[in-house]
Amino acid sequence: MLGKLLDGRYQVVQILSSGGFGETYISQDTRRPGNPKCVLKLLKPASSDTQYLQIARRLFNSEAEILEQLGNHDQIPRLLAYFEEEQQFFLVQELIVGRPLSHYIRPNEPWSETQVIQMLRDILQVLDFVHSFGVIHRDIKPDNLIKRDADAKLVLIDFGAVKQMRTQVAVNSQMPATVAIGTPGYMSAEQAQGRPRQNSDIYAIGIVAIQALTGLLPTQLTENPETGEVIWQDKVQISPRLQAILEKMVRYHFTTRYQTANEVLRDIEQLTVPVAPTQPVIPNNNPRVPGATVQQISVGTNMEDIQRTSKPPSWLAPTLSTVRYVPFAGAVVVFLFKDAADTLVILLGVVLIAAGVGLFLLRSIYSRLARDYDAVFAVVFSLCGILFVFQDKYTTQEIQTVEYLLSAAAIFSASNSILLRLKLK
Amino acid sequence: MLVTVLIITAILLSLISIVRPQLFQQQYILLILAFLISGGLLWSKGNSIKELPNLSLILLTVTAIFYTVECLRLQNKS
Repeated sequence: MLGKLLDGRYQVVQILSSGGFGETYISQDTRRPGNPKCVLKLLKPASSDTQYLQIARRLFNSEAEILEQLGNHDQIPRLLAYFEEEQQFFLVQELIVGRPLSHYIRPNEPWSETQVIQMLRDILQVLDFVHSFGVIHRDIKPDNLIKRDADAKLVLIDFGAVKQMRTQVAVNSQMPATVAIGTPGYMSAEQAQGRPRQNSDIYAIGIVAIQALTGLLPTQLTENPETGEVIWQDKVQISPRLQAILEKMVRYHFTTRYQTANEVLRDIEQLTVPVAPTQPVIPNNNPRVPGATVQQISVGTNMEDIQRTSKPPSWLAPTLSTVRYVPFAGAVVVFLFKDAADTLVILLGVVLIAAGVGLFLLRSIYSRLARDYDAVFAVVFSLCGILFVFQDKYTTQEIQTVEYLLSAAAIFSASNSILLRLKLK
Repeated sequence: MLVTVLIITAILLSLISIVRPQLFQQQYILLILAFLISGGLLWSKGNSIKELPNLSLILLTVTAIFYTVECLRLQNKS
């Protein structure tokens, strides 16, 4: 297929993906100035039977019409063309330059509440638009959400599994169930049974948010064997209000779930506090009892919580940027002035103990900026500091220089790491 | 052993500056120099280190390498 000119216009330049139902390529539009790139999707009919092809053609045209309408939204790729060639169906769509959300949601790297709330807002606005056309996406997952390089907005892609509500009604009246389409882990119970509803998409988004918050894949989450509810609350520390929203998004039964994306958006807008309080989550044994949720909301607004989640002080970044070079200067002095070496190593010990304490305080006070392993390295810094303070004063100058250099490297890289975390926040 | 680790880390960091320049910050030259000089000095004086200073050097090396790798990973993410 590579290099082939389709519809006398679109030249395939790269294969993006290949599957049982079709293939996706990057192609160049040779009839536009500059030959801009676009996405070309090939849908393979499962049979070449004439009657089958007619039905496939009708469904293909119907899907293209939906995509044409949906493409009016800024966060959905525009449909540029669709055509049939050699009994194969092709869709041409706008190319979104960016990386999938799965690139940003990584195992054991939980997102902050603020990031998750922003993501939910972003996706739910698109979903509200999609649902207003009576369409269910059916395959919302991190791989199908592209963070656009141009403006960092999330773009919803791959409408290959879309289902129109009116089609669903017609099918349901003739046969008991349709085929289950979606990705395990992100599929709600009713969708897995082949009966998706609009709030099946809300379930998928809820799971994506939980994945971002916990750093765990949906398949790593357990279910309550009695109720079927996903158990995730014990793996994350978030504000009770956000927890209540997510719980309602991923309810097992679609009747108890949010019914529309707009409902979820309204609740999210009420989370007005920029960074919601963090606290140990009180297990909610009966998530369907509204009273239980209200009780949790009333907890967690004490001063300690606010301090734990407050923004790092503004002086932290400039201080770290400067201080990280100081031990290197110390190493040079130790190397050049033998007489001062013993005193400077004791001073280095004190600095290392201070670094350990500082890292530990960072972990305790600004938990969102720190990582769990920082506590381990806080102990390492302090231990090395103590060893340096009490070490044999007859240690050679070269070894003292090495001690300084390695301490400088460790302090520098740890400071740099914190600065990068600050930047990413 | 420690000498080898330090030298290899310095070489790897240098290679990153060539292979993935977008991940490399100019300040990392300090790290490369620190690892190289430490490796060189330990290589020449390695036999005279006592147990406790040796332990602290190992711990600091592990810490420095760990956070350096984290920096590269975060740089890649940003």
